[in-house]
Amino acid sequence: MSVFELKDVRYVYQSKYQTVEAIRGISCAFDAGILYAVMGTSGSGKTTLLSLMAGMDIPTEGEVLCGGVSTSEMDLERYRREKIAMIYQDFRLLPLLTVAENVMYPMELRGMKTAEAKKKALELLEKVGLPDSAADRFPAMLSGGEQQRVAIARALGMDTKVLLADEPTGNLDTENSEKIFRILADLAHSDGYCVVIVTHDPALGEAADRTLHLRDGRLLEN
Amino acid sequence: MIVRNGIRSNLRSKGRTALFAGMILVLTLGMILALGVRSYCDSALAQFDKAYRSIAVLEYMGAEYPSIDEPDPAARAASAAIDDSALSAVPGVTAWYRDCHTLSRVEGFQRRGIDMPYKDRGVIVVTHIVPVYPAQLGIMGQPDYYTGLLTRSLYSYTEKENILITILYDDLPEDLEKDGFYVLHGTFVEGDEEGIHNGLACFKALPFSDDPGTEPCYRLGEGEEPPEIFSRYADHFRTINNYVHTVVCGDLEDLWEFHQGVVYPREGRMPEGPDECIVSGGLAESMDLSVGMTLELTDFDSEEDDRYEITLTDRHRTVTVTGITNSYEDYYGYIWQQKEQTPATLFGYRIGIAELENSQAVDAAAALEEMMPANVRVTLLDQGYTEAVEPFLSLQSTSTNVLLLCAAGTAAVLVLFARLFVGRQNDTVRILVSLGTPRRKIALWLLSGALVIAGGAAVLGGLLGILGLPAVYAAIRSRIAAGSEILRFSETLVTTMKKVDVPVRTPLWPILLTIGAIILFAFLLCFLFLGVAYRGGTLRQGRSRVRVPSGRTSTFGSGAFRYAVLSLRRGGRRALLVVAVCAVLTVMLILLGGVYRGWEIQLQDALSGTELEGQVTSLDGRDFSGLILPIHTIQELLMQEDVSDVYVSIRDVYWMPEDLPGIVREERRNDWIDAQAEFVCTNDLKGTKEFYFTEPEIQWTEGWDASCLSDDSYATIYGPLLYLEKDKIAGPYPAVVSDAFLESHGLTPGCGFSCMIRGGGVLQDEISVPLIAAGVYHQTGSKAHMYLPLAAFVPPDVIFGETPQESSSYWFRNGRNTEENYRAFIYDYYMMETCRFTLVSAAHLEQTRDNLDRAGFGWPGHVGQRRTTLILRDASFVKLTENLGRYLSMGRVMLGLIFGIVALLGFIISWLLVSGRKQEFAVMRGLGVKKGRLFLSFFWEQALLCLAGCAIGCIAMTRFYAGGALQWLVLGAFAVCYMAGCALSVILIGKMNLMELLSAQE
Repeated sequence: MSVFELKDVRYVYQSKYQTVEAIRGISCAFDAGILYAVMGTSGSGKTTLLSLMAGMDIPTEGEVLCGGVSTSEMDLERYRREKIAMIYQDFRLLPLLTVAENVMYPMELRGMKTAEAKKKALELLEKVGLPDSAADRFPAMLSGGEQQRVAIARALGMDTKVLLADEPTGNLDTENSEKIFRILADLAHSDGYCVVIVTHDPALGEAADRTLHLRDGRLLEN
Repeated sequence: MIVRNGIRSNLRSKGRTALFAGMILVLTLGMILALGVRSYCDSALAQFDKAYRSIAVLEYMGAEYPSIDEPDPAARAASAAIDDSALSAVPGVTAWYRDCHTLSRVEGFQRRGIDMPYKDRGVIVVTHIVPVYPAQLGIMGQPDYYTGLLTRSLYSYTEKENILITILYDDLPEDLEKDGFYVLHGTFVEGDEEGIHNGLACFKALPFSDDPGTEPCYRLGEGEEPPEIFSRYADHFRTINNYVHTVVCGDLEDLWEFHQGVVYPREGRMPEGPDECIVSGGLAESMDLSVGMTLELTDFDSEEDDRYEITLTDRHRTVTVTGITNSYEDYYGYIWQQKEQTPATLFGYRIGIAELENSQAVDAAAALEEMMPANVRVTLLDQGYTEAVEPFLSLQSTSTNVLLLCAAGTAAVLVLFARLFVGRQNDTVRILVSLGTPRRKIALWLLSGALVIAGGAAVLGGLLGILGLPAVYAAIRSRIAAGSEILRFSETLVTTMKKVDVPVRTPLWPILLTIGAIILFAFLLCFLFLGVAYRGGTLRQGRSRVRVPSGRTSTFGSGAFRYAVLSLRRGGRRALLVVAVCAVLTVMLILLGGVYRGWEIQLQDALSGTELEGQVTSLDGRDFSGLILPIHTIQELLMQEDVSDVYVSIRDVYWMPEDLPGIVREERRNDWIDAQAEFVCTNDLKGTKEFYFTEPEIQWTEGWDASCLSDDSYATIYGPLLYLEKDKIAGPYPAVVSDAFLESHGLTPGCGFSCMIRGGGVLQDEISVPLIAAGVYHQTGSKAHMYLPLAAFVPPDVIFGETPQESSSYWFRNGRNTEENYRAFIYDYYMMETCRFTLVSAAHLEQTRDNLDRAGFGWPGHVGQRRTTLILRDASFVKLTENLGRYLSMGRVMLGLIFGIVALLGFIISWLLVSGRKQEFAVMRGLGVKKGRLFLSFFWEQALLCLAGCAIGCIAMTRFYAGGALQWLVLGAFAVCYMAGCALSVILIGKMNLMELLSAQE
């Protein structure tokens, strides 16, 4: 069974003045151990699709199934806390927490003891290639690549097998982009994660195991 | 274009614009209304100051009060002890006028009625004198009296001639010629009092006082004029009897009679120059005077010991009548002149009048009272100024504080406004810079947008304020009119109450100035924040400042609390700002709460700790002695649950047998007795008029103390009770006598002696009263009054005990001479002359006033059913409680406003702080944090910061912290207000759509 399955998903942004159909009936499935790249032009619906998979909202029509259960029937907070991990283009680290505390945070959310969470956070930081000295630093003291690694470590700390990344290399230089991509690819291939990356970068698209192209809210190719 | 876009872009950010525009509008409206109310109060107070006049009347309240003619040495000594320059230097005293009341002669004035020193005296020519012998003796003995025909009056008050009169003169020549004409000097007396009941006017011949050797009877020869001495005496009587009172004062409006409206110009105007005068209506009618006529005045000089023992001087002057007053019997022959005073001998008790600054009158009167010699009463008469201005003063201070508070609030809001609308417009600046917009145009963009909002809101607030002011004024007027209830039974009513209408004249310029000031201040602040916006929105050669929190990874705490603690520890300036704001507000609230609590405690202390006194007075509230007060009225007073002690006194004259003149020829015996000192029966010296205004200092002899006066074991001196009250002590009675009395009679403290008194009631005998000098006081007045137990005059239990079952008419009807019936007689017919009482507590003064009102007692200006006027000596108490009440109501307004502002500040600060952290919100929600935990993460942080600020404020104010529940309540309320604002903002942000939140810019 696929980790994720989208069944004829539609999503409409509605405001007082306009209605925009961002996703127009997408159906597809995502499996574990595979790195997916979702590509498309601006406004094609990539980020919206990822947000629906991340449980930020539920589809206007259709279903997003995770482990065979529709997100519409789930407690989305719990879903976000336990089923998926998300990485953003602008890292979205909590500025008042140290690097270690940022990584510890989702673990603590799940009820892990602080000391245990710290230990695991340090392991994860090491895993993403950050030195121990970075643990006590604050996000603002790190480079973009380092911050994205912290974000990945935080995502790993959530102990899920689904990693969703919204333009994870969008704010990074080429060298850092490659490093981040390598980490994500390793997670998919070595640790069995289902990694879904939304990107503009054709190189990343080509490097991914599978690439999905979106245009005007529709899936062109699978 | 730039201005238009600047304005539009700001106007289109609706929520923020509406919030700040609303706050500026409300605060401007508050300022305008406060300013308008303050202007209204200022205008009203200025008009009150013009319309009202405050004076302090200085009177000597000695034993001779309220005689206005008594040559009281104590009053003169007290008057001499008053230092004119020191008194004039008292703050609030604008002028000081001593009593300057003399007698003058006015050509053509014919006095009538009472107050004539020689009204009964006469120099008359009589003929046909016939002796009348006692019926039982026939013509053998001395004639009883003579009758004769009065043919000419050289002087007599009635000026009647050709009437038959009775003549009393023992030394008339035996060879009286029936047709002879005799001129007689003497006085008209009541024939009945002399035992002559023939219905004729009775003339008693008297020797000449300055020439006792000359016979008062002279036979006139044919065509002969009376000898010079007779004509001189006749002229003297005519001159003296037709005196006029001349009162001189630097400002006649300050005189009691004019100030209190007893007399007022009926025609013409008040005099302005020294050669002008205003005359009483009686004098004008008597002389057929009209405005513009002149009067010839000649001064009299009075003897030191008798105002009416006068001699004509050669000091003449001519004055023009500028005005005529209403006719008032007490001011029948009066002339008032407004000019510089010359020293005059003081008679009576009125020492002088101080003119006071209205606004300082109460304090000035209190200061005057402090510096007065003993027994000098200072009565503040302000025509109701204090009462009239009280609500306006209250409103004025409240509006001033509201104005200041709104100004401070406006300043704070404008700072936030300028920071948000200009200082944080980095993105706008960045875009405009990228489009190559010149810097001044960027400034114009930002300033125009911000100023249109601030200015528009201020102008709109101002307009609403101007439109709303009339309604506010109307509300004030109706509230003041509704609240201007007369303080029943208050001594503050012992003055004429004026009513002054206050027209509304509020200048617009302060309002326009306020609006202008707000706009200017907004402009300055926005201008200052332009630099901030520009710095944040432009690149500076790659340099950027990144704020990094300090600290290491922590494992402290868990859950939401852990995040809150980490955030507040690392919050930097943001956290410090919250702590500082909360600390400052805490200090402010503690100060305000402490002051408010202090006022409350003062008020409670005043209410519970003040022992108020009251007294029965004349209808106008001025006189408290010489009353005719039935016992049932006193009992009614005693029945009031608020009244604790009642002190009464009753008095009559006494004389020492050895003082009685042996031969009474010139003065009748009764007249002599009437002029003697008084013995006063009282249950406490506080109840006597002499000791109303001074504490009695009595030297008690061994075995005696003040309780002897209230001792009811003494029998009454009068009437049948002497034998009815067998168990009572019939003397000697303890007496408090004067030191001068003991000295003049060769007595010593503790010795026994007797005095004579007149029998009262049915029996008119003279009674010898055995006394013992139990106490001695220092005599200051001219007469040696003595004080005896009340029981000597009336059994105290008749006054303070149960009401007799039967009326005294039963006694008369049945002739049953029992003690019970006699008590009923006393109850019905004895009248007290003074009555003073104390209240149990001042805590329920309003209720006391209600009870007294219900019981039928009246107050000055209101005659109750009982026709008995009471006043409570509550002026200083009322002033204190009114002031405290004003402060408390102002404090309540201020506390309410401050809580409102604090709640608003709490909300705005929390909103700004939390909304600046939307990214954190988004991340946490993206990570699946539960709503409760999310809320608590932010709420705990704000709450802890707020509490830390409160704690710092409390510690800083430890020295001033008076404790008490109110401060805790104030602080608690503040913390709750702040955290409520915080909670609301967190909840509102928490409700935002997560997709929007994730894409939201900080």
